[in-house]
Amino acid sequence: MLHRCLAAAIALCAVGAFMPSLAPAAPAAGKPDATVRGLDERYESEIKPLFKQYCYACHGEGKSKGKFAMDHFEKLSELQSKPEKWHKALENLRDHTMPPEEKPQPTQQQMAAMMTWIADVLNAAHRNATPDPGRVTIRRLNRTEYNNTIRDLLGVNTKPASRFPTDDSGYGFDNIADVLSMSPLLAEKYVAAAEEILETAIVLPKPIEVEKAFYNGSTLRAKGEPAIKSNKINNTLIASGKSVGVVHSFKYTGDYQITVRGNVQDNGGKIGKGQVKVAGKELGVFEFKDSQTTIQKRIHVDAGNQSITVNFWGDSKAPESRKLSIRSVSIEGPYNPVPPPLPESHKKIFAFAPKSKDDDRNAARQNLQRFATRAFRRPVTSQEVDRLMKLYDTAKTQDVPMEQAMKLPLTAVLVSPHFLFRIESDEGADAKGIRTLNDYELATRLSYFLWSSMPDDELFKLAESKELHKDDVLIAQVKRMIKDSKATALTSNFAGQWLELRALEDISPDTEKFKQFDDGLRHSMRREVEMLFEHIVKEDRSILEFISSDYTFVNNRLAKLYGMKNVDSSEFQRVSTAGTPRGGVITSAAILTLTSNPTRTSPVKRGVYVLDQILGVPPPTPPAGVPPLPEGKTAEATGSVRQRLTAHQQDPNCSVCHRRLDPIGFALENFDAIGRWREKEGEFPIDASGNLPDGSKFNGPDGLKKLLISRKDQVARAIAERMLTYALGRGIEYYDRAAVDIIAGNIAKNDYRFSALVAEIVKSDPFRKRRVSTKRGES
Amino acid sequence: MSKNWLISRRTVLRGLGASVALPLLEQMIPTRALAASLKPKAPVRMGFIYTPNGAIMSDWKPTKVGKDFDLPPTLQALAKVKDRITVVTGLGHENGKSGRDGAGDHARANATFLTGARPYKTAGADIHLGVSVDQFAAQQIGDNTRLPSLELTCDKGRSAGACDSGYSCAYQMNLSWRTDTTPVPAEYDPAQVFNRLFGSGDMSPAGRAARLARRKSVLDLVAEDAKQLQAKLGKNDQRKLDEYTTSVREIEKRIEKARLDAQQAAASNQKGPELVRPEGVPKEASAHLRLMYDLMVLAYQTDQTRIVTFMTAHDGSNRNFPEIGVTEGHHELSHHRNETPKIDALKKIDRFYHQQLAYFLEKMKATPEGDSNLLDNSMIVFGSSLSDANRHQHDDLPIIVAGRAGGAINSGRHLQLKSTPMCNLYLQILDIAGVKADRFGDSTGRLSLT
Repeated sequence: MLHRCLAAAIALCAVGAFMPSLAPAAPAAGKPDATVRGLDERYESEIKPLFKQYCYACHGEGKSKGKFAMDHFEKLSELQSKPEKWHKALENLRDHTMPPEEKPQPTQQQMAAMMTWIADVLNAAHRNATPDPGRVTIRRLNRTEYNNTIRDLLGVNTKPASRFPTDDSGYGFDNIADVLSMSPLLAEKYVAAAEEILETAIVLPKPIEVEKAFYNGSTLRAKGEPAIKSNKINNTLIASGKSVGVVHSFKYTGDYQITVRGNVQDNGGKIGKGQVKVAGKELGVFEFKDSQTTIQKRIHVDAGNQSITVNFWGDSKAPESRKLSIRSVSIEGPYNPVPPPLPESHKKIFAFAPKSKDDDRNAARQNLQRFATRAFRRPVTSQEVDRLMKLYDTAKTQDVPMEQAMKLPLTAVLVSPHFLFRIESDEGADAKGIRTLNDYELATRLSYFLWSSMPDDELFKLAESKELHKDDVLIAQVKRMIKDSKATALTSNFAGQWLELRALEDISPDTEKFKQFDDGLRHSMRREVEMLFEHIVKEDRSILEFISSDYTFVNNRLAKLYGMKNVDSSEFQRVSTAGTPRGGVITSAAILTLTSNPTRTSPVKRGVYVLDQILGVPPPTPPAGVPPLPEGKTAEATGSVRQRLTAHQQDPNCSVCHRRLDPIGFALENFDAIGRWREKEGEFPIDASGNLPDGSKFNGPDGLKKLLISRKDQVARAIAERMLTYALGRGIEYYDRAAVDIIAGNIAKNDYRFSALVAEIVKSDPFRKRRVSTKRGES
Repeated sequence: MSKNWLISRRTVLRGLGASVALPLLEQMIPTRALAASLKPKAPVRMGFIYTPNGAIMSDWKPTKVGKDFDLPPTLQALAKVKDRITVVTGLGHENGKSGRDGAGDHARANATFLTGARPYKTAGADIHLGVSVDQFAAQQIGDNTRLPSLELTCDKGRSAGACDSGYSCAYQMNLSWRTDTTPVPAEYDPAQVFNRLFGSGDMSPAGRAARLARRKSVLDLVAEDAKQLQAKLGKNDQRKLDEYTTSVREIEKRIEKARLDAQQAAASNQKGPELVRPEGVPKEASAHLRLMYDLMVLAYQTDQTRIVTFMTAHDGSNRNFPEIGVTEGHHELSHHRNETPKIDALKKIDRFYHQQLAYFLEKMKATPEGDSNLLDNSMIVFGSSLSDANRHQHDDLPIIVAGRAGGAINSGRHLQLKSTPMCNLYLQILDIAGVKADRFGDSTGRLSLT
């Protein structure tokens, strides 16, 4: 990933306001305007001439390519009232797509001046603007959400969506409304999945019939010894004091008629007593005569595998002289059976039982209404239920039971757009075109944010009573939900993507070079960071522990990799990181591995990761059509990774960007490509010192972490933006800045606690409101 | 007439109870019974196969042009089908180049390959590209088969993180686009592909008929749901719902076709070739690729579809290939900076992909159809949307057109062109398939293949 930065790129990296080495993507909001030297004055003296020189050829003096003219305002307020195009202009400058490559290029300082000025103007605008909560497109459930919703709606845990095509992602997440599309392939799969799910969920009523079972010499077993069979009629012979038995599978709980036939065999014609036990309970003690005796009795037996035994008491003094010959043991039943308990999934659908034989349709209707309300995450209308009932009526015939007929309308519910999409109403907006979500919509946003699933009963109740939107109720729910086991969704889905942990699955380090790397280690790596994340969530720790924590979680595999002693178990345990370079995510084996190449480390990738995921300032996109470095740079081919990169940095075209990227990666060079500590890279000693162009110096991982902690507000803001993106299912836009400012500010006030991060997002305008007017040019 | 020479039009897939149709061909009818002019013609099959990250062109590009062309090391694998392929050089995608859009060549390479359109640069909102050539064709002639088109991939998709330089992953993970804004996802699991082609569950005629009737009633209802909802939504919402409605309509059509199929199947009771349902996704790249190629052959042979698109991996894919001793990732290697070990590894990967292609083409050729074979009735475009990936070159792409399209392609040649839009090739392919189009993507004319 060595890019040869073109001249145009240099400006970007040099722009003070945007990347004063590591500063946020825009000047810190809330700064008094005094720091912004008179915008008008700057425009006239400094900026306008630059626009004229570099931009007006297409965007001024009568020209408005792309419907954008930069001289088309009298006063700044006019510019500020239409900020979209200017935001785009800023983006284009930042991504060095403007001015176009073939046109004259501004110098670094000129580029910086233009961008800073535009940003200042827009910032000033956003402080005065009417808040805009943005608008989320209707959102299809992604694969994870589908699986979880089916689990919670029906108690079916078969993960049917694992057979759906992979969801596309945008803004680093796979739950982005605009990118989640629908296709015939997926529609086919939705139909098939719905049918299968209901097949599993619903148990059809079956009449319980009386069945007979028969055991004789070939199936009866004397306890502890082989059955002794008499030759003629397949009888089983048992000596006095011995017993014979069989294990029978009773399908249902109920009364069973047990019949034992047999006779005593003795030299004389005597009587012997036999005790019969069923499922450990005594059926009775019976007299067997020397002629064929039939004993018969009913007993209540629980469903399952139960034993039936016959103990022959006979003559204890001469056991061999008196024997019992058993011809057969037979079982008939059940009588008065107890129907087996229905699975949870069945009960979730059939909450209402028919009151009488003729009440099937009524019960079906009530059940459909209830089910559709939960599936659509809002009360259904009676017309909607009517239409579903038409399907029920089609399916319900004389010989089709209600439960079977219900499958058809239930399939329709699971394929309906109201189930597959999360739909929010546009009705009831205020004069400015802003609408506050109703309590059902809020419950839905909340549950998909924290659980990646549908609301539970408690949320539905609070939605029904219209209480959920109250701040104290909302926050109490957030706290409850985070403690719930379903909140692990936040780990696998939010953290899995924010920290890119999921990508670990696709990484394949060279196993020749890294022999100990296998799927077990891969899994352990991922688990460590997941556990750190879960710990911070559950214990409501500071989010700065993502950067640096004095503990971590390891098992024996990781402990070995980390050189930690006394961890022998494959179970994870919490350990102190005192005296080690670990703690926090960026020095975890997981992150160090997924930012490496298969055979070696990549300081560039590591630098990009820290800038993007941790500091929220992704480096500018590298210039297009990267030309190869001129040949003959011998340091490129030999030397340490650092030496090679540094040689590359000497190219003035590259240095501006890479002088900011690479030092961060260099600080982590003591970790090899699977995260092991090393003092040398091959023959080269590691140099983990770094200094950024703004003069800040740091050394090694601890130094890097300290540097990051010193920018904790930026770190918090970066996490907040990522989490807001995930919570909303859309990209963060310029009009979200006010909301992000508030969220970030309040996180700081609450000691950077995780709960504050979530609570502030949930309370924010973008989360609780939506724009319905098309004024802003519906995106 | 000799009985065993006649084959049944219906072929029962043993072990499944499922039956599929073979296209009605002269092989089922005694030739003597038909005048030559009345002979039914085999349908022309269309295929698009994508390999990522360009190729080492010095090992790929033949030096000689015309019929007498040579096979450089990478193309050696195709020796057995040399007379059935057309090597086309000089094609390119102008819209893959950065233009005003800056970085993101891999996203653009992937996006332009079948569309020739410029992807709108966005990480999520407002994704916009263009209809891809396979879908364009499917929309006109897809009705002839149960599945209008089939999309396959050996790429699981990205599990985390952003995609290339500010482009949504949708551009980089999909080759097929149904509309300017709607990508068509592809199947990754061979078992799922098999089920789609030949069904699963109760495949008895009665079971199928009942299921299809049930599905139809369900779809009618949800289509009504969507219709009522439509009026209440904003613009972007409507777009999403349109995707839904179109999909529902599409599968309603397929259900109708399947119903007819099932009726015919019920009337037939012939035994045919035994098919084995694949079990999940193999770990080795070669095994996965070959299974997908097998399924392509089956899909064509049984005329389930005539249009298949297959992405072996997305552009920028960093897959490595331990089975051929390449442990570095493909994308990392592709920025080889002229270092010999990297170039050698890349050549290995290139040969690997072409060997799998050879497996497919040979199998197609070995599948008889009438007095011809499947390959001769097909036109398969195989290639990458970059040439030199080290420099992200979007022109002079490594492109092979395999098959003779029932005689419409004069194969066994190296066709050397001067900077021609890839879409000119597509326009010609559409024409051969009987798809009406005056232009496609950024086409400037038709590329003659005769």
